Amino acid sequence: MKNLKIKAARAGKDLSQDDLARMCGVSRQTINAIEKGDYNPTIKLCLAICKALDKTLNDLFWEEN
Amino acid sequence: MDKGMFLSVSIGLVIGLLLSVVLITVIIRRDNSLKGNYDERQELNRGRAFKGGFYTVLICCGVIWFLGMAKYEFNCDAGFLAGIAASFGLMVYGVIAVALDAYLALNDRPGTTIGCMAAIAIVNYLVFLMYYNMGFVVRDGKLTSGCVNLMIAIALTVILGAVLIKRFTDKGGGDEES
Repeated sequence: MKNLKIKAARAGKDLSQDDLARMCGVSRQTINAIEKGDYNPTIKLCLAICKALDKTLNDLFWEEN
Repeated sequence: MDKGMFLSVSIGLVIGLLLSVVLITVIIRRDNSLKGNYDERQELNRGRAFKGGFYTVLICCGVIWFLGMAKYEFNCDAGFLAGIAASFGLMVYGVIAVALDAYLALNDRPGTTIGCMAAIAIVNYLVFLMYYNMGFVVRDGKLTSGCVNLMIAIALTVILGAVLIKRFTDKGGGDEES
């Protein structure tokens, strides 16, 4: 399942996938895979993404049924 | 393998290994750190690639062992067979790692890495040609371990091709952000 919340938050901060990847210390392809729902990140990377985008885990990763 | 050939192959191997270490530590790594810096997804995918390479070597060894048990007459020596198994393993590992975006570390410079791989492949082709001209490749009608350089060169060429195709398809927009 695609993670549109990260994509939206990233776009909201006017960051490219490459910018976000550098901030989190991962490759651009990893950010791309997370946004496409192809990869489930560890909690450590989730926190790094949240800090980079000034969001909480709930904002970016919690899904309402 | 006679003493002269063994000495030539040994010297070639040592020089090749030293050259590889120098290339990796001095040229490819941006911050001169020996350890490649892979992210968590790349580490996971590298594990998959290692598994693929390992099973390839295992299958190659199994086939060679089976043919040996069946009294199949190989027109090559043991070094050649070992080289085939290792080269196939290397090739499968490289191609899977490239396909899963896990070949280049975060601190690798892609252009330099591709250039170094091409240089190493060319050197291996040249060493093979040198061995061929010196008559080390075929002995008593059998292929010898002098072909190992050719196998490594072919494996590197295939990996290089996979890297270039991957970069081309990524730039084509298929994997880029929207």
